[in-house]
Amino acid sequence: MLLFIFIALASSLRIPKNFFISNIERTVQLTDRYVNIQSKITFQNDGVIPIERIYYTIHNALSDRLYHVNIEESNSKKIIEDVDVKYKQNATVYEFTLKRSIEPSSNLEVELNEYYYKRFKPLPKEIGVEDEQLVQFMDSVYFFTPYLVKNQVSYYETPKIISYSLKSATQRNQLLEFGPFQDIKPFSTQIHTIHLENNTPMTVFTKASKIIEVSHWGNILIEENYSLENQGAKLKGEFGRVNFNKYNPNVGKHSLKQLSAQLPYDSWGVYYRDEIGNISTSNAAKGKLNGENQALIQLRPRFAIFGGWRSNFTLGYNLPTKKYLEQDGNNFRLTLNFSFSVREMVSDKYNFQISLPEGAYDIQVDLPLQVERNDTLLFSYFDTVGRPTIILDKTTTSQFDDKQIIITYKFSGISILREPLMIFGTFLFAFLLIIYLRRLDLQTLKLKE
Amino acid sequence: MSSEEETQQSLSYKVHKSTLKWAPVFNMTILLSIAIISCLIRVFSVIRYESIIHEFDPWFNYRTTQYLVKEGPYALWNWYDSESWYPLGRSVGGTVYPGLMMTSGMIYWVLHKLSIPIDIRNVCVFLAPIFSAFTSLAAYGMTKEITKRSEAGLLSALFVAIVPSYMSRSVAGSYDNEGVSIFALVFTFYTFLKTVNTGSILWGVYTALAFFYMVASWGGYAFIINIIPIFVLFLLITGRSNQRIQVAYNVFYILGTLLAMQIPFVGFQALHSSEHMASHAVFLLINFLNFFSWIRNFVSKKAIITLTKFLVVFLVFSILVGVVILTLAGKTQWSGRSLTLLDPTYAKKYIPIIASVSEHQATTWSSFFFDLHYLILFSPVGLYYCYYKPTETKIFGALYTVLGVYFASVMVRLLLVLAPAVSIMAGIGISWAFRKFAKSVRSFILPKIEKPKKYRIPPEISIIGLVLLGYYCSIYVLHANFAGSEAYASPSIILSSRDRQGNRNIIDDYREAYYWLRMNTRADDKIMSWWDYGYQITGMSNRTVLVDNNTWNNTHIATVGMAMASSEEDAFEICEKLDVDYVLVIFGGILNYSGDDINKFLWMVRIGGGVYPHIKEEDYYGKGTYRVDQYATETMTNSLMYRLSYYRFDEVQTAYGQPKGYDTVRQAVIGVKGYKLRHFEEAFTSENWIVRIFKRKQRENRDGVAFTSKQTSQFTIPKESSPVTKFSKKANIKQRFTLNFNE
Repeated sequence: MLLFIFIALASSLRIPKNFFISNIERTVQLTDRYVNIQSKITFQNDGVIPIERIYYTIHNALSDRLYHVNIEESNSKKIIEDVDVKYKQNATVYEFTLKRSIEPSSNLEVELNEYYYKRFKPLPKEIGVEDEQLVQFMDSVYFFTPYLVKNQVSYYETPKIISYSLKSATQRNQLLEFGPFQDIKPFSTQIHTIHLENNTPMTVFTKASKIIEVSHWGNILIEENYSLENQGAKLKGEFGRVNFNKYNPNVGKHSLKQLSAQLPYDSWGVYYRDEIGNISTSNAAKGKLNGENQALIQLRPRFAIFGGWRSNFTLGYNLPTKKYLEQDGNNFRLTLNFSFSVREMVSDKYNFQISLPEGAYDIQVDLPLQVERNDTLLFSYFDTVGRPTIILDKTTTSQFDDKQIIITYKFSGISILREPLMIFGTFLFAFLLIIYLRRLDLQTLKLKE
Repeated sequence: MSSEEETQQSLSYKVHKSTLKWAPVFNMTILLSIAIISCLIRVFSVIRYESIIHEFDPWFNYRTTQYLVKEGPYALWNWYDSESWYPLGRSVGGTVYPGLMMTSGMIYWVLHKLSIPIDIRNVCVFLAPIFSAFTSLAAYGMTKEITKRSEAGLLSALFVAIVPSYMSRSVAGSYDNEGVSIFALVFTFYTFLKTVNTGSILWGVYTALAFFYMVASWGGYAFIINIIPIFVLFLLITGRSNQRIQVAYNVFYILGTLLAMQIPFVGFQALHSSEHMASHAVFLLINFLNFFSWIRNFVSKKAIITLTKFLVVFLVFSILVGVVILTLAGKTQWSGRSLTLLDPTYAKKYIPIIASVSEHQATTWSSFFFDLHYLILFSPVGLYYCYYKPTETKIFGALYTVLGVYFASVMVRLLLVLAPAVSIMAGIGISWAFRKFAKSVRSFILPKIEKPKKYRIPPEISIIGLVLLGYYCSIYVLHANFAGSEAYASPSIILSSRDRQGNRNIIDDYREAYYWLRMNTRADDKIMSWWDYGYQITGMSNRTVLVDNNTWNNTHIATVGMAMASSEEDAFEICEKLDVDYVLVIFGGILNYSGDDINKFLWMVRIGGGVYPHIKEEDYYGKGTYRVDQYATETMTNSLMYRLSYYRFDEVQTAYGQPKGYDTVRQAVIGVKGYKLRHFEEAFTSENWIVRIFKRKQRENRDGVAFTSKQTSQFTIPKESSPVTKFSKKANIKQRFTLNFNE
């Protein structure tokens, strides 16, 4: 077993003396496809100045697997550049601004939620259809933080433990308890591993995209494309229907058999297809979910996706504009959700593309997320100058990024009539031309009948 | 006559008058509605299933069209497709009739230029219905040229628009050459008849252009290039030839042949292939006769007789010598399929690959009736009408029908060529009967206009006749509607069944497996399957195949047949030599899907045995019949096809009250159970077992001395194509099957 201990020499993060974590209780959920770590942290301010910002650091080996982090009691979060931490600790720093500052000689308990994907390493790397999927989870014993930690306890919830490397841990059924550890120096790490059984399919989207076309005639067309991959233990040996049978839920537990998507309640004309046509195995229903009206789509891929297998698919639907587009004279305000609609999945790369009607100008985009923006023109039906199109790219996207994107633009009312008039004019011209040609006499020689 | 009757009379006169006045409007409106209906009736397949390319050959056409719109026409010309016929590849540009792809490519480009960015798939799917509308318009024109009557034209247009035989090849998604070429065929005939009627060179040029389009789109153009010379010859023999005919034929022949040579796939075949010989001969004959009659003006009567004798002997002799020389020198050649047309038993005896295709079987009466329905009863009336008072165009119509009937009886597929002829004849016949009846009714209602003749049908009988004819026509329409919505709507790659509650279940095994191949195999993996599935695999899975529906190389197909028919060890050696990574078989034993590979297996044996004589058909017969149960021979049960199809099949129960391993198609329990595969492993089996994919394992370490039979170890990868099916462009199997879940 490897053991690394980093000790912070000096940090430029303005951490006042006598500000530390008095207690931390980490609960690591290893029961699902992705890892969710919930930490209850008590900050103690024994100094003299009130603390408004707290820092969260993540080691760069894990930073691209962290798809979401938040603190309930904070107002805002941003990534800050800190040379010291970046090079000495090889870590990224997030700065959280607290809703209310921690006054001297008081404490505050916050709840930190970290969401990771790709944290499980299949071991063995290859398994058969009927086998259980065993994975290895690697983590630091100590909470990786720029603060001094007085007391730490960690719990690991697993479906079934095979083995674990930290000898001092105590096992209660399928729960591992680490600690308590006292007086942990800032940026302390100690690697430990847990070998456990986890049969949820380790699927991710390697690529996802959402393409939107807005029409002022009343329809918003949305198409989402997904590239799916199961990164769990690879399938070993044969795949046949004697072993793998759709009526037997106990085989192929580690294969992805179904996904679910959540669409707005007023979506219509839903389709689910891929390059070679409709995928005939899906179900849709409208109903209430979490008190909200939703359309729920059950998507089954063409085949169960085992470890190492891939599949692509497309989910498309329409929305009425009147609910999503507000008008004030020539000013329009469009409010749509940013992320894709398949739930409980994370995508490595995500591309969001929205085309506004031809002739829209003064376009402003408001999105509370860090994305890369490119603008272009799209030529669709009857377009002459092209539709202004905004392309937003983001790495590691999940449903936590499903924030509302607000686009405001100007659009003159006459522009809406341009395309119908163009078609009308074309036909008129064609008919006039035919009438004229019919009456044209090109005969040079009149033959007598 | 009372005043009341008088007003009634004057009212009916008024109605008659205004009807006559508005007749052209009615005519055009009805024609337009027919065109729209012919489009709509073919869209059932999209409504019942989805917008998808159907069957086998359309997948190749679709793939080629995608290549065309992506890379442009010149790239298509030079396209050497390395994804098919591994390791030989296929030069697509020179072995394809590009008319269909060019048409949809053109539509695609024009629409995109008009900034309508339609998907190429939708162009391809809806091309055939749109062209069927054109066909009904062309049929209207052709009938009008034959009879000079619009009502006959309208009826013909309606019959053509919905004739099931044509519909079977032109439903939405059926993206095949026939979809556009039936239009080209009827349009060529229309323009030709127009030329015959007018003697106009301009219309002759149009005929040649229409013919050019036909040559560009379908090998069936040989029908045109033979029927027109036969027609001209018929007129010459019966002494009905005139200058108009000469103009029409000469313009058509010269321009048409020149234009046909522009298609790379035809090229100089237009000069030396035997399909074109009749046209050359008639061209020489007609001009020779012309020349002769011109000379006659200058020589005495006595000299003429000598001259005639001399010339006739010379002509016959030179033609005979010419044909003998050409045939002996191998300059002219009959393709296997053409020979099958002349001698229906030819293919069965010599070319199993042509005989193996169900489309090339002789037509049964049931398919005649299903595909043409009442038209086969109506058309003799039209035929009688044509012979009753013959004109040149009526003779043409009659000849077309008679020849069409012959060809259609030889090959199921050619029912398609017959369908327009029969529809036109039926239209003529029915309209003639309608006219007779209507005349007698009119003479009763409007005696002032229609002078009653001495001999006429009593109006009561006329009314009964009208009602009966109307009834038969509506039955035909209902049948066509059924054929369009049920029988021919299935894309055949998606199957559907109904359960006891009447719910429709989609069985999507083909696409499941093809998509698995596409997503989860390496891009350069080679798939071995029987040739029927070649186009679908390249189209849907985007993987390299060994053989496909373009059956240009008999040896290569025979090699695959041999691999399937050999024992697992031998097959492994063959597969290794051919770089095969996966073997794909179709198996219907679970779902009672009868079009599977075990049922086709005998053809693999026959075709394989045709090239590799150690494969003997008798070896696969147990107790005298082809069977899979315990009496199956050892050769049969050891064959790769048997082993792969039934791998682990004995572990499932397929039917109620039957032991495990009961094959529902063959209705027998399989003969060999519990075996393991040594050189192959199951990679994927679709949900209902229809598609089974096996991966070839790597040779085991120190496995070099495995037993192989003598014949296989001497086998080499074929390099040259066998000449037998050199020009057979394609062949495919259209299966109609039923699925029974309820049994």
